[in-house]
Amino acid sequence: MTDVETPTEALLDLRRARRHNRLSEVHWIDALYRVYMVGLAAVIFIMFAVSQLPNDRLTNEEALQFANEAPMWLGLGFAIAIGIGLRSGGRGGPLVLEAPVVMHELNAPVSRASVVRRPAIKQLRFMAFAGAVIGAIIGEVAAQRLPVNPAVAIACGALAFALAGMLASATALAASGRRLRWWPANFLAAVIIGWSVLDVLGKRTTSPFTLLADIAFWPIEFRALALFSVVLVGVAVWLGLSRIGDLSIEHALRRAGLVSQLRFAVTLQDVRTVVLLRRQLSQENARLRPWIRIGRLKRKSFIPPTWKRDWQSYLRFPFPRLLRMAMLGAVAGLSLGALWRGTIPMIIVAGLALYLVAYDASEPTAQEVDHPTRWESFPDAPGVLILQHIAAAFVVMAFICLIAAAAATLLVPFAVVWKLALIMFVPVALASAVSAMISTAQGAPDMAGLAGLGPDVMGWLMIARLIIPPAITIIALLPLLSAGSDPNAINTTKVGNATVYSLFAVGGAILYLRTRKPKHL
Amino acid sequence: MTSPFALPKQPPTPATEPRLKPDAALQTLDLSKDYGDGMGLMSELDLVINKGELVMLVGPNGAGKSTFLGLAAGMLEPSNGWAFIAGSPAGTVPARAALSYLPDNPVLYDDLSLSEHIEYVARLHKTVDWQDYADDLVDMFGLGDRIDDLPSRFSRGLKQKTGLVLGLIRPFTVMLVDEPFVGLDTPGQETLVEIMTDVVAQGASIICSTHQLDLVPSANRCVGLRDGELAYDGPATAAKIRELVGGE
Repeated sequence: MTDVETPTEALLDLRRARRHNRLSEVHWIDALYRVYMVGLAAVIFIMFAVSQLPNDRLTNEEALQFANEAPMWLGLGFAIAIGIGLRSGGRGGPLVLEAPVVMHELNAPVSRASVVRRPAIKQLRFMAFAGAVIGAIIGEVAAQRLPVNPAVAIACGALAFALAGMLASATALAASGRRLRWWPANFLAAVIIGWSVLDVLGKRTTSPFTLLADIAFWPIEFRALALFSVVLVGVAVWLGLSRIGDLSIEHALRRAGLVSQLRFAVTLQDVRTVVLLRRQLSQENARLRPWIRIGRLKRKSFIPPTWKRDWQSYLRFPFPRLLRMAMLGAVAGLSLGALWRGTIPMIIVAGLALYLVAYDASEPTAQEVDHPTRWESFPDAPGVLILQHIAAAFVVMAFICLIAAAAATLLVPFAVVWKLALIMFVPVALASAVSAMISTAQGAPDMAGLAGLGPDVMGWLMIARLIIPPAITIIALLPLLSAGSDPNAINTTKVGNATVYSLFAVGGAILYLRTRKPKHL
Repeated sequence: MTSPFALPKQPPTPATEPRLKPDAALQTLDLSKDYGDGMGLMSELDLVINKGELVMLVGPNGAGKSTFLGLAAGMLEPSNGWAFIAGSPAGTVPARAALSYLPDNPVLYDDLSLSEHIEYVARLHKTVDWQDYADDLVDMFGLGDRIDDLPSRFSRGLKQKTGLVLGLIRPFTVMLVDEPFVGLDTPGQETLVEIMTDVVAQGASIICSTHQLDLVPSANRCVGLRDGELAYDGPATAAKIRELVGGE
């Protein structure tokens, strides 16, 4: 055999062929319609967000004070994004190559870097673009309240967020190309986040991520030192691309399989499968040894087996999952604090955060749904078994509500928090537990059955499947709106009365759960 | 304390490792794989496959056959030890040039036709004058009238045939095949046995994970695995294969 061409030419030719074949399959009218709908939704969202801002503009002095304190917080956000990137890189991310690319191209006698560099650059470009769009929107919104030129605010916001996006992606690529193990990657992530936390607490600029955040505040005050962060991003990109060909093939193949399933599950709006695959992707497995081992029960015990089984499941939760649950609880609490201070849309953030935690709390229910033959063998109505799981999920969510209440005290006087928590504790914990259990118990949509109803009805039903479960948690939080904003005159009676209505939603949800049965029955 | 990096270690050479045989088609030295949950799947496997051997790899479910082939192909990273293909560490460019690996589930592009697949793989592996050979292979597997179709929409059997064509179209000295007979119709199975016999006669080595007894007359050797360990290494006979698969 003699060489007639370099395989790189074959690689380029066939990529062109694939692009041509893909484009010939695209239905352009549908694609343009989708772009139009997404654009419309984005414009409506931005206009809504802007309309929620108070109308008063900050003075120059207030803006300067804002520019002195806010970069630390934004820097912390950037550090968290980069920490997530490092965590992904420690598990073989962030690249998601198609399985045939791994099997045929990375296994061919060509430089693996030449195969992977292009998708890596594509991802860096995408992250920079996504960051720029987000930054531009935030710059535009901020310009409504700050005494700055809107065009400059948009440009600086776009630049800072684009650089942050690239830095997060480049850090992940650098970790992946150097086969950094998960534990040093997580350690590094903790260090950089900790550094930014120290900046926030000390109101100083020492972290490079705070410097990067300074760029967004250039319209208020130009700090030349922030240019250092541009150099940092350049170095990170070089590091990310320089050893990209050394990525782990085993990780690449595992991710390829999982991500294609994940995309399919997202298309079907099958939330349970999405959660499961996301866990597999981040290698978040149940612990081999539980945190505390629950011994065998005595012969005559009043403890229900479902209750014990549920706690056996929770006690095998890995540490990252427990940490994520606690952090989401804190996010919910801070969002509720912001709600009490007048930012009403934060109720949605709080509701979604609690709903996400409740997804983990409904893990034992998910196990029943995932194993329909065992569920089927339960010697009573199938829905009764699901209802038996509510108790433990409620207790877990009660713990999370405690964390949320503690976090809320950062923004709300303690006296207000405890008065409201006393009333809201049970309905919110119960509603969030039940809402996630509904989403879990409904399983994947029956596409064949739904298709028979026609495209319009099918579309609405799919939206309802997605929206109703988290809406139940948000409904349970609505009574907080009637509390009033005066810390000395909290209207607990009104809140208590409103809570009764939210309990109706919970009751309806429980009745729905009672009707659930294994998919194949 | 383990290294914070999981980069492959420096491979041994014949000077540092006397057991290493550079002229072997495939050699494993202390090859181990642990998936990190404390359950070892492959433990310190030492194996030498010589040039021109057709080896049947057999064992009960979970014996570690696919793991062994994945490790030898460089698709899985060993927890310990080494796999060498034609004297080069698995996964390196010379090893990839010498190896053709067919996993149990054919991996195909969604957006390339069968002819485009063949052209792509052949050119990627610097094959010259591949067109006539490709036509022959396509005809032998009865894929002639599907040449412009997308294999991603094929049935399991047709996908398997496509995978085999792609594995055979490129030059190789070692072929690792995982359960290639699954899904094939009888003519397809007969064609595959015929091609494998022919390939081995030309000097290449094939390690084929299969329980297909039709391959026994052509096989020079049988390697049996059980719980990730070598349970048998000797002549391939139908009785021995039945015993190894049954796990008795």
